[in-house]
Amino acid sequence: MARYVIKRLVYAVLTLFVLITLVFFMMRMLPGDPFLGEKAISPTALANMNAKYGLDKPVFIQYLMYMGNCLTGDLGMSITYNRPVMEIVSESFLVSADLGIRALIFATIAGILLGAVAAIKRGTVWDSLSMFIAMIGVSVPSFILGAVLQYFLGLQLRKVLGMNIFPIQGWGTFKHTLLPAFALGLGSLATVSRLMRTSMLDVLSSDYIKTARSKGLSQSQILWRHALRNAVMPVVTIMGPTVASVLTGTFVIESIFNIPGLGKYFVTSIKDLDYTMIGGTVVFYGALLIVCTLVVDLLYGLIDPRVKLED
Amino acid sequence: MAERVLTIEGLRVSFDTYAGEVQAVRGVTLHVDEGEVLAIVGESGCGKSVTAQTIMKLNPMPPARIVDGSINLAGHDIVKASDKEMQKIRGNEVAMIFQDPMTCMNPTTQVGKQIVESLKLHKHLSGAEAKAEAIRCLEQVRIPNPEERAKQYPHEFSGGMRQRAMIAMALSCNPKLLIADEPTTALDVTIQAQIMELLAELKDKINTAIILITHDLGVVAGIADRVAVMYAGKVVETGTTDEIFYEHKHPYTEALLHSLPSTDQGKREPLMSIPGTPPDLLAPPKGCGFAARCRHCMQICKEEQPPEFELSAGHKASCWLLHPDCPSAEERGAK
Repeated sequence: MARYVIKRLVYAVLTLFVLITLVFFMMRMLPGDPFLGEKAISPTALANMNAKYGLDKPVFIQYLMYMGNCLTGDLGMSITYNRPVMEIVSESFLVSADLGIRALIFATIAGILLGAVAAIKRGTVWDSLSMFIAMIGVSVPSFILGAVLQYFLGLQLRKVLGMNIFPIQGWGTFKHTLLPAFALGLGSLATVSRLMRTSMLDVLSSDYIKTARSKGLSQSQILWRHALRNAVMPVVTIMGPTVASVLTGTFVIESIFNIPGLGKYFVTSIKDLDYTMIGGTVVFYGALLIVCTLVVDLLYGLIDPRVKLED
Repeated sequence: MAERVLTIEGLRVSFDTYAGEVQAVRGVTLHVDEGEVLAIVGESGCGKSVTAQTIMKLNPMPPARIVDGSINLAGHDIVKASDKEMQKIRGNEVAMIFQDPMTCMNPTTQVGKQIVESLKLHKHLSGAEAKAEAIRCLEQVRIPNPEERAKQYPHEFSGGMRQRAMIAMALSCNPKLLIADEPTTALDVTIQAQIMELLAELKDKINTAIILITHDLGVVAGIADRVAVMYAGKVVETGTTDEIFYEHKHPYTEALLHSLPSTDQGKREPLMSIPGTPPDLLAPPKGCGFAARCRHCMQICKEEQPPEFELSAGHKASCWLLHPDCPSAEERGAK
């Protein structure tokens, strides 16, 4: 187990190294430079700016310097905001994480329940209803869903009721999290519920459920004690990619609902060619995804005793 | 006189499918006494497993449906019993072990816990008592280091060990009847013998009746007291093991026994087999189910179902050949 974790961590560092290198050189291949947008800067001022951010040195030297700084945990100063990248990321990520975790919890719990109900009540109205919701979740992109929710639950409902139950933009109170979390989570909910349904049907027709029945357990005892844990296994497997899709989904949702999260910075930094900010956000997201996948894999070993985490 | 544990009379079970009604069991009458082993033998698809599962109402209903007949298990009317009542009967009065021990245990629950579950449910033992009892059960089926084994998961057991654990689980609440549905089919031959020995020994110890479903006649000879031969959803012949092996009267029983490879058979001699396949139970034949494959088949066999003839006390067979008016083999011009 310990050996496995160490091995995975070494791989993680390697992955990050490749990621940083790729991102660094790809940024530099983009035409233009961070100061292009500003109106007529004098050549001396430009030279000073370039010197300040180390952009006057050869690219390879810049790369070595950047890599060296990354090793000490310093992601540099943002060129656009003139603040340390680390500071901006840690500040805005709290908001993104808050939104992402809410969406994730909603998607997982509702998805598992929906899928399980669909399987248990196979062929009934409940099954069709669950799968209809799943179909909508899979096929409607989050930005359309977000806009539709804003229009009907935000604007129209406010007109009808005369009070603001679902704010359509901004951040700060619990009410503000409802629409964006729902819009962000529905896609993953759909994936989870479809997977859960298939896996539950599989488990319910398995021999050990028959054994459980032959022991005299009631239907609910069979479901809770024997079926659910086994059926949830494939869902755990896709938790890694699900976390990734929810996190990357925040980029879009945050701009639609005007939420001051990291996703917003991710998008604008590319537009501004803010080299340090692009690097910082990519490295941060990369590291986050690597950690999430590792945690999910370790979790899998805990839930399924047959999974041995060795080599 | 041993107490009667199970009486099945005129049981008919059908499955409603898109293609129509499949008559899987077409009038089965059986009984099992305390401490007795009844073997039900026959080819695949002849209704053995359906009959057995119906005793516990384990086959999902619908599509399965008890059309007619009665099942009396230790005083309980199974056909009329509600789900709640069945839950009290299952595992307590009657338990079952299945064909494939590799898939019959919950892979994510410790073996001991799976046994404890039954004990808590039916015997209302406390956690610690149930645990101790589960370990005793594992010991009884000769699983070495039962304390440690109880904490292990099914994938840490070999096939034979798992079947032992299944037997321990099934017998944990001292059921009056144990249904063993092809318990050794998925195991290799040496393990088969061990499991059958274990079953025979435990049966004497706790006086449980056993219904053994199998198509392995070798297994039958070793353990069964009585045998019921099933074909196309009916019991075609029933009697003591000796009667079935040495004084069988039904052509199907005869053909089954002839299909066994024997040691005095010549090396180059091909194995005997019964030509053809069992009839389609979606549209069961009007006459005897075996008529199409029977080498003694007469006109009446195709037209009318044979009645049951009692040959001696307990030895019964359903075949027109046994009718007093039936012409002798010479008269029929038999080969």
